[in-house]
Formats: sequence, structure tokens, C-alpha cells
Amino acid sequence: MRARHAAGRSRAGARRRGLRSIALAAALAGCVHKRDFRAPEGRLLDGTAHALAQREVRLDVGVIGTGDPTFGANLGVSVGAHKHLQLGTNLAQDAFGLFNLRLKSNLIDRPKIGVALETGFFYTNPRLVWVLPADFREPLGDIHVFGAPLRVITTALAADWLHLNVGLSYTHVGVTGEVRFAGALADGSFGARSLDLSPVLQLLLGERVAVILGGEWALWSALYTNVEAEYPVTDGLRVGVRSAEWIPRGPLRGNSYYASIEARFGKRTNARASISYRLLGDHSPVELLPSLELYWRFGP
Amino acid sequence: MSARCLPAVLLLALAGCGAKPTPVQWDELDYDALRDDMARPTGEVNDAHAREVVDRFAASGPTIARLAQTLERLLPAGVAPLDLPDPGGAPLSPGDPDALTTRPKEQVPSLASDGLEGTNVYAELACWGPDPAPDLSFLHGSIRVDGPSLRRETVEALAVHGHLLVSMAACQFPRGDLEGESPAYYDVDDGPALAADLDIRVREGAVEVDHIDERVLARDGVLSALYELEDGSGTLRVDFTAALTTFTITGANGTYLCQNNAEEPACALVP
Repeated sequence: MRARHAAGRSRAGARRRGLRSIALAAALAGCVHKRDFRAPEGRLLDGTAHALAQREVRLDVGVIGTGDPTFGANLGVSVGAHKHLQLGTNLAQDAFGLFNLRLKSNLIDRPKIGVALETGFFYTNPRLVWVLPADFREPLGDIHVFGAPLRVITTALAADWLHLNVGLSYTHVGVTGEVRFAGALADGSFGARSLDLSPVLQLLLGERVAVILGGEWALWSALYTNVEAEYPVTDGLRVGVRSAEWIPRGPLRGNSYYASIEARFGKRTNARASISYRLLGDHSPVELLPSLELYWRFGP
Repeated sequence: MSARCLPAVLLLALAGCGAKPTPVQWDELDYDALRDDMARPTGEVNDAHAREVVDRFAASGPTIARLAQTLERLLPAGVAPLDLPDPGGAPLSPGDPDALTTRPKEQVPSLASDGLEGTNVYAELACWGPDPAPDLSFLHGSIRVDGPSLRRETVEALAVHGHLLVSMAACQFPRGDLEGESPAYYDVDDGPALAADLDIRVREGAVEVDHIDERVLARDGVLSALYELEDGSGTLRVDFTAALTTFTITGANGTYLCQNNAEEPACALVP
């Protein structure tokens, strides 16, 4: 008798939870604002050839972003600095000492097709990353880390409900400077360059919800070194190794894929929930990252 | 300029970062030819030619000897010591573990691939300084000796022989500042021996006071320099030691023995 009562309570609890979920989804669906995904103020911007309009401002708050680079937190601000030029930075990274700037210019902006060029730059130095321990920052203070992602993005509006995007990215990440450790001195630079293809499919449902399916395929990469490291052997004699290598090789990292759902709530608030998947390597676990981002666009 | 061009300009600017790093490269020394030429000087040794070579040797010989003493620290055991004073302790001897030595051939790691074309080992030696005794503190510049790139064949031969590039800029020596690049070669099984085709300019301030343009060979504690006669009639070889007390001038027809007196060297034909 007691067991039957327990089973009954469990089924009732599951029913209540299901009903709550449906009610929540229905309530949220009711909140989803209608949106014209072809209009400048309603276009999807990330991964597309579209940019903010002049004097338009966008604020982003996100956790574990799926963007590149992925740094866990996003507090972004972007502005339409000019008619065809968007500038943006991630303030969360800036605050931690990783200074970054992104520029996006929509070179071609036609009703059915668009082409944009996206460039950027990030820079840091261990001395600037104040969250690191002081005894770690000081010895590495002459090291400079920088990167420059460049991307060409093409967007085609295949149908009102289907937009296709293809991005081709070239990324340069380098480390330069000198390190002294236990009498040894290393001086020079090394880094990596890579070429990636990033197709993105946007399914626009009922002029309210966008389902975004995308990937990033690593096509090519190369490592380079231009480093001298030397060590004093005895008075008047130092020995060292100089390495000036250019090593083309296969992709440095596995391909990644992601799925997102984006909707607008109210006039300005946009929300996007994503899950990304990346195979890190033959012997590494698969990386599976959920993320949630909110952003607001303020028109000119 | 249209704002749309700004990213394109940045792209072009950043494309400059894509240049491939270049490894150290140089024209290698023909060691066999140098040894042949050293073994068979072609010039006639006579009083006039001896006088010419003595004058040139008086200018370049001490610098060559000091260079050899400096570079000798890189050679493995087996080279007769050249009495290099070491202010920090006892003179370095051939068996000194502090001297940079190459490893026996069987201990040389083999490369799984074709190696690293742009990677090489190098050594930096403190320049002598202006005083008669060397200063090992690197206050007077350095001589850099680059080894061959780590290709499979060079790594496998590294313990035995290999090509080097000796380069220096504003390297202070008693007679002036040295600058130039000279290809060199070492062969552990041949003595060991260290050979170089010197191309060194000696400057006092902005004035060039000498140009050492001789092929030299250090082997078994003996230094040899090959002088091209100015009349183009051939070469004469000068053999000497770091002490520079005596030296010989050898041509195709005989040898002069010279005593390095305080005033001027006195030479006489060896019977």
C-alpha cells in the first residue's frame, strides 16, 4: 500500500514538472518579440556579414562564450562607428589585462547578399594581468602575447527563413619577448597561424526565433619559431640554440560545431543559448560547452 | 579614405607578420681544398717575399693567435693548450670538463624526421678586450660561432666534424675592434683541427687599420696561415704557435725560420 502511494506521488510529481515546463515555454513564447530578420535592426550579426548601423550600440553579457577566442565571460560593447564600420571590445577581457579590439566592415551590403571583413587585435603582457600572482608576473614581464584574427564573411539570404553564411578566417597568435630563468636567457618569438572555414546556417522560424547551426573547420596551420635560448657555461662562454623554423602541419585543434537558439524578448533584449562541441584530439576528451548570452541593441 | 577600407589596411599591415623566419646561412668552407693548399704552398720563398709576409704577419699574426686561443675553448680534448689565462681560476686544459665538448658519435640522438632545417646550436665567446690578458666578462663584445642546422646528416656528424660560421661585430681586441664573418670547419678526427677563411676588418674607431684576409688552420697546437703574395705569384704558409716566439715561412722551394725579436723578426733559410 505504501509503495503504491509512493509510485503515485512520483508520477504526479513528473506530471507537475512537465506541466510547469510547458507553461514556462508557452509563457516565454508569448514574450518572444516579433522580428524582421532582414531589416537592419533585426539582422543577426554574429557570424554574418552584417554590422551595426552607424551610431548603433550593442551591449553583450555572456558566460562561456562560443566565440573565438573563448574566454568564459563576455562583457562586450560594440558601436557602429561609421556607416560601414563596427568597432567592438570585450570589456571583461580588457579588465583582466587582455586588451582586445574588433573591427567589422560590411564591404557589400545588398538585400540578398553581403560580404564583410572582420579584423581584430588582442594583446597582453603578464604584468598587466593583475589576477596572476606577483611572483609570476614579474619574471614574465618582458613577454608579449598578441593575436590578430582576420575573417572574410559572406552572407546569402537563400529564403526568408534561411540564411547561409560562410566565413574564412586567418589567425595569427604570437608570443614575443625575453625570459631569464636560472641564468638562462630566451629571446625571440614563436607562434601559430591557422586558416579556418566557418559555415553557419540560420533557420528563422516564424519571424521570432533563430536556430543557428554552425561549425569551425580547421583547414591549415603552421607553427613558427624565431628564438634564441642561451646558457652561460663558464666564464666567457655561452652556448645556445637558435631556432628559425616554419613548420606547416595539419590542424592544430579539432573541428568544432555548435547549435544556438536566439530570440528577442521585448524591444531590445536578445537572448541566445548555445551548446558547442569540439573534439580536442585523439587522446583528449570531447569539449562540450554550454553558453548563455544576452545582448541589447540601442538604435541611432 | 573610406571607413570600409580600414580593416583592409589593417589586414595588409598584419600580412607582414606572415614572413617566414630565415635560418642562418653561409657559404661553407672547402676544408679539403684548404688542407691541400696549406700542404703545398705555391709561392717562392725568398728574402723579398719573406719580408712582405713578415710585415703582414706582424700586423695580423697576434690577432690570429688570440682568435685561435679564444676559439680553442670550443674544441674537445686533444688540442694542445695555448696557455689561455683564465682570471677566474686555472687555465683551461684540454680535458677540462668546462670546455664545450662534442659527444661520442654513439650518443648523438638520431632525428626521426629530416631534422630542423632552421635550428642550430651556437656559442658566444667573450672578446679579448684591449689588455694583453683576456677579459672573460663579455664587456668587450662577443664572438659568435654558429653550428650547422640540425639536419639528419649534420646531427649524425656533429661529434666528428661540421661547418661553422664565426662572426663578430665591435669585438674588442688589443689591436682594435674586429668585425666580419668567416666560414670555418672543425674536424675532431684530424687532430682535432679548426680551419677558417678569415675575413676580418680591424678598426680603431672609424678607421680600418688592418684587413685579415687569410685562410688559417689550428691543428695539434700549431697555427698556420696562408698568405697570397701581392705579386700574385703564389702562396706562402706561416706556421706559428700562440707564444709567437718563432715562426716559419714555407714556400714551394723551402722554409725560412724566423725569430720574433723585440725589434723586428730575423729570418733565415732553413738548410
